[in-house]
Amino acid sequence: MSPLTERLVTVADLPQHRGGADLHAEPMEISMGPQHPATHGVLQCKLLLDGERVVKIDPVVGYLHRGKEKHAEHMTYQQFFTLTDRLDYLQPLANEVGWALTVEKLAGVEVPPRAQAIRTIICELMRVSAHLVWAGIGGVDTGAVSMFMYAFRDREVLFDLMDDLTGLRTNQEYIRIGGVGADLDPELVIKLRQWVAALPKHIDQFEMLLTGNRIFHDRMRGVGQITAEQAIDLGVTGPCLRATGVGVDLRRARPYLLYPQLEFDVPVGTRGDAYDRYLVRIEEMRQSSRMLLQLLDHLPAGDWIAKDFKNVLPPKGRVYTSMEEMIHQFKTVTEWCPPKGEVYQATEAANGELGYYLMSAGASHPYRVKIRSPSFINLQALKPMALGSYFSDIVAIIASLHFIMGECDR
Amino acid sequence: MADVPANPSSSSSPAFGAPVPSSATADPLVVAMTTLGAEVLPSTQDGLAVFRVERDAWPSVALAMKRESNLSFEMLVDLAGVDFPKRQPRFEVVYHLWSLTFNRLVRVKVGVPEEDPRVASVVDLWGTADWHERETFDLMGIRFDGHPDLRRILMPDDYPWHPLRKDFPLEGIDNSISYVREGGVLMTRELDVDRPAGQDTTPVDRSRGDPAGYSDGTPTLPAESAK
Repeated sequence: MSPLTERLVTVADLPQHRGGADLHAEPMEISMGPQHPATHGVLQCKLLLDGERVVKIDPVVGYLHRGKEKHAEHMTYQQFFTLTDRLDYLQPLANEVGWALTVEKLAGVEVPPRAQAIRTIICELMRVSAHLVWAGIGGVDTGAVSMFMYAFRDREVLFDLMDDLTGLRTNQEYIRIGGVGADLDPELVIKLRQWVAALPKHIDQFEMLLTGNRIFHDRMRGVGQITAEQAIDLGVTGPCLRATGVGVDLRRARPYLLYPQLEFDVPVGTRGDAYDRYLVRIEEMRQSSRMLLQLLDHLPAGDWIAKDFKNVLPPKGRVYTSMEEMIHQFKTVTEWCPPKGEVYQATEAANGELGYYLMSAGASHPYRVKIRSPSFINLQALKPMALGSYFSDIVAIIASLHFIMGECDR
Repeated sequence: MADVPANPSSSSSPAFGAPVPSSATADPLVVAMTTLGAEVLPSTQDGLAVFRVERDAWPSVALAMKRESNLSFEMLVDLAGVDFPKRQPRFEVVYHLWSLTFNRLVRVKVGVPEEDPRVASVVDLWGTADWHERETFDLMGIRFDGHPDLRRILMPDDYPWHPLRKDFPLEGIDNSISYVREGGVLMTRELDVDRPAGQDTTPVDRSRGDPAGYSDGTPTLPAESAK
């Protein structure tokens, strides 16, 4: 035996490395958030880890609670639009549409077809806008930083178009009870159409970056899986529910606005994992662009706000020039009271069912407003998704769930 | 898009699911719910079927609504607490239940008295009720019997009040001031550790009404007249 091969020891035979049996670690408690960059705002996850495995997870919400439901009881119906903007701040106008539909149903206000078409356009634009942020941030969370640039390039242009339409890039406050705040002029229709027509090609680019990407697959496939029964039990709605194979979409199930007249498909997944949630959202963007083209090409003519000025704020231009409208404006602002009653109105927001349960006592302020926020409800699914997974998967799960804490905490 | 009719249905879109027949008793849902002991309430602007269920009967009604094949309400869409300070019972818990099988949404109300603000939890039937019930407990102070982990969710854990009650003032209650009664005069006492106790009381200006949140030591809710 040469001296070179004498006194050798195989590392696998060393007691500390033998099958890892002696490598016992205490479970470790970790607080992820509320300032963690991957928790999308101010979510805190209290985790108990066994090595890299999650054995317990307790999401802590409420850091962004601003008491919107309490505030609603002290604001007029028109004023509350401002607060709905700040629920899911990625799709402010879609929140406003939901609130407007609720109040209109309560007060029985008829909305002219053009206003309905503009609102439908806006709802779909907001869905695309929210999904773009989701795609961009979700890319960053899973390591594809360039995806962020592509998604935000498109979103930036949309922001400029929103600026043209409403005067603001975000938190627009453009929807009114009975219609919208200003008309959609033909020039802007052309610009919007260009943006929408280019969208499918841009989505192809996103898919080239992510859909077949090996790293993305490894991060997303089989991660955060839930079954359809679990999702229904937990009240999960929107893309996260559809990814489990349940084809429930409120645009079909409880139709509102012009959706019954539009042609679109509802994408569903099969496995209910993070990757399916990604695919469902990507396809939803394509379907949105399909709907938007139908709407922009056949935009009905007519009024963009109901002429029912006993219930509706008259257009501002007329308030300054006409005595009648000025009086209507004054009376609507100071003493408009919808009838007594209760309304639950839900819309299909980007993250799921955004519902307003409104109770009116016949006063100028709502008696009670309950916001059924999809982010809050969907976040409950984080627990079954994350249990047993690796710690790093939580980031991918959070990215694929996509909740907005402003909406979750209200 | 198919051509837009000149006069489309208003945004108050068609009644949900199967249209409710005008003679409400003919509706199988209403028949089934009445058999379970639910009281039929008049429908409101949104056209949903509305029922009121007694608090004691609610667990069995909820179970039947989930399990019976002719009802099969698979999803609890929303749960809200509503406060009526002048009514008996004071609170109402409002459930919105959705049957995916029949695509039908209903509203069920359960009254909860102020003296004993408790109602049975439905977490076992609909897992989503977990956070809904925690929220309702947090903001409205209604307790859900059988909830596995009933603690605050939106407000801080040590927060003493239930802010969505009607007698809770919008501006909130200052936690740093407590109210004491000395010789029949209401005084404020600032919770300031640097000052010796008893030297920091000042009379309250009662011309503006009783301070909200006043109590004789333990923080409880102000009287109903506060609002």
